[in-house]
Amino acid sequence: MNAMLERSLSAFDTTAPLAADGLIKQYDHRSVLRDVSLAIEPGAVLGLIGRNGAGKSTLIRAMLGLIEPDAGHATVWGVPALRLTDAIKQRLGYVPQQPEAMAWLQVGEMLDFIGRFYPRWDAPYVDATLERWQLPRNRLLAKLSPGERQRVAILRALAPRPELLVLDEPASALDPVGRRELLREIASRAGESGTTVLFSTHIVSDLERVASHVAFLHEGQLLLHSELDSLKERNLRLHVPESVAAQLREDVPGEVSRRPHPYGGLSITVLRGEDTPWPDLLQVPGVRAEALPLEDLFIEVSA
Amino acid sequence: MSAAAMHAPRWGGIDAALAAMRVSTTRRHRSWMLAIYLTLLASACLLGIFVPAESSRAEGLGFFVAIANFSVWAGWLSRLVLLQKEAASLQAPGIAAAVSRALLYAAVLSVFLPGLALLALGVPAATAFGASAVGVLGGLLFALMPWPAAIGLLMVPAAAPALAPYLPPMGPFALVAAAAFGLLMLVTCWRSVVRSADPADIPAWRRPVMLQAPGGMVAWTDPKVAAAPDAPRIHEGWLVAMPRPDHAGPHAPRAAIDALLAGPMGYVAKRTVLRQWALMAFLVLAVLMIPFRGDAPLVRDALLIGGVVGLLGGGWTLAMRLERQRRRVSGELAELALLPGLGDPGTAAARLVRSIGMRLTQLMLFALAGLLLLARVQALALSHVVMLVGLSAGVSAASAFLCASVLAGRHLASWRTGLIMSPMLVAAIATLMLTLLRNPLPTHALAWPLVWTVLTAAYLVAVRSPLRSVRARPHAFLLD
Repeated sequence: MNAMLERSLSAFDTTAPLAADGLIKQYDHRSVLRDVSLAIEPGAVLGLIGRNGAGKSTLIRAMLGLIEPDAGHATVWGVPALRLTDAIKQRLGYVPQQPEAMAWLQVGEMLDFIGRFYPRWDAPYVDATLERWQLPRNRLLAKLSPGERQRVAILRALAPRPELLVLDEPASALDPVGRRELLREIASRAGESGTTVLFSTHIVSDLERVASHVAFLHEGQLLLHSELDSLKERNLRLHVPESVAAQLREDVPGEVSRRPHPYGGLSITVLRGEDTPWPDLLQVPGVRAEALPLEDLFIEVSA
Repeated sequence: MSAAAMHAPRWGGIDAALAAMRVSTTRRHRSWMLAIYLTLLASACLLGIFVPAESSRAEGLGFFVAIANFSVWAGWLSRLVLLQKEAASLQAPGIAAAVSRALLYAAVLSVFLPGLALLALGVPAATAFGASAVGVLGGLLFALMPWPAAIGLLMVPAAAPALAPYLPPMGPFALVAAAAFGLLMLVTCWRSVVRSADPADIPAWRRPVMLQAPGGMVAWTDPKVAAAPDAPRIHEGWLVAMPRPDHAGPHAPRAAIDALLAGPMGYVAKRTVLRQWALMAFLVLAVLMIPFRGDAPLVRDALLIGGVVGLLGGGWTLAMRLERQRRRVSGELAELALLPGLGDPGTAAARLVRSIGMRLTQLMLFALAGLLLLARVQALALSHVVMLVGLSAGVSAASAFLCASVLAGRHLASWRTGLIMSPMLVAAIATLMLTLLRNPLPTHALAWPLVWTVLTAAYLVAVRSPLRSVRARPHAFLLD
């Protein structure tokens, strides 16, 4: 009865499924997270992008309460991440970057064991997916390839039909077919069941395929958090001729990066705010503008 | 270990070799190994200076030097072979050459410097250099051999005197043949390590010691080193079986914790426990029944004492394994942290503490049983038995402190822990020497039960501090 009530309440839950406020984490006097604040709207698919070592995995672990931040706090549906209740855990699915837990168990054995803890465990879905992915139930987890292991971890996370799915570089060990299947699964879960998804990646094409929102993390700092479509419309690369560049005294409003253009002048990347107009520089004769693909924007922002 | 961090073309001779030695392990691990090495060498020198010349003096000093070389080669310098393996797989001949030079320089230095020191202390040249070389060869062989052979190697010093009466006298030819056999074994094992593609593909009983957990020893001395995945776990056998979580679930949350922490908990199925006990009983009976001659009691006692000391170290091993779990970011602890059904954070923490408490109690009862068996075999006086019971209680309390510290998020490999454990270690060594090695008991014998009572009480009181920290943590399954 309680579970039913919780489920029906969760359908109308407008609390951010996952939120971080001022997270700071240091390892050996090296800042890994620097005052990161981030909230994911219900039903959003947030792609967390950043270079290797940017702090993506640490952020995810801190947001799920797996590690204790030095400062700041994270919440899952408003509950402190470090003190998650069973009811919250049942609504949550997590895929770590390199799954290695319970390696001595067989695939089926592990899934049966874990399934006992989730009232909404979808056993038929598990069986069908194992068959579709050609993963034998009696194979030891430790004997699976990294890609197969990741598939099992994804299946383990999806089977409880979670309302919040957190995936740490889920496609890193998957082949192109597996990656495509995973992205399709994420998109369908988000579209049909309203599952909120956070996934980290450094593969921009994956992110563009399924994400509704994007967040750039660079050296532990959140540089950008925006709706994906809006972000694509709000950035421009300006090619500023030498004569105009010589007159630029200050930063251009919304300037993200500036570098010398190989053929003279400057190349300036601009990202305007939601309600901010494009900078006047755009109107100057000789200045050319082009919209940047997400990958180029990522490189400019993290450069 | 980072082969990529080495810039071979820039290097010349000694610089390259030194750099190879540096990158073969972490600074902290190097410092530990060097500290052990220098302590053993200094002990040999001090003994050489202060111990009067007796018939066994030269062998005793040689033994210390051999042990010193064995430790540093088994623990650190053999890791150069791992670096060589990486260099081979990366097809980086410059690095491979630097590693070969490093091995050569290290071997020459560790044979000749201690050998010369022994020579200066009046030890015959053959014993001085022979002992150093045996230490180097033994250390390398130990690291490169499959583990059953490595354990056999460890038993050689104990078994050799027992077997001596049955063997013909060792002439120069036999010695050369033994050395050649050792070198042949070394080359064979070396090649198998360098050429092995994936250690997980080698059955556990054939896998060289250093490939069982290449980062294992380094990770133990350096908390910053990430723990490697447990690939070897796939090679279960009839003696080493992992538990099946058949009866675990939300209705049995402690069983679920036990099942998920199977590795550190050392928890295995009942059938496997029976097999393990049967094998242990067989080994003990075999040791007791072998008709040793000559130094028989010494050899037999050495084997039994070694076994009991291993059992006493069970708590420390458990704590080490638990700490390792904290560093496996995608391991069982992360799974436990997000698994529903284990209760609220306080209840889950209490269940975890109880699980580990139960396991520790089992381990310590085994150790006590071993000590009492030893006391029976040696027909010890009651006062000595009381001392051994005290030792067992003290070690149990100290082990509880170590496990609780790990659960509280502390690191074991720290000077603080070393300092806290040192009274127990000193008292344990003294107790073992006084009782099992039959040193005469001093007149203040009654002080020993008091020492162990105080130490046990002190560690039990000290356990409260980490336990308070465990309760203060947001939840029990936090990662580092």
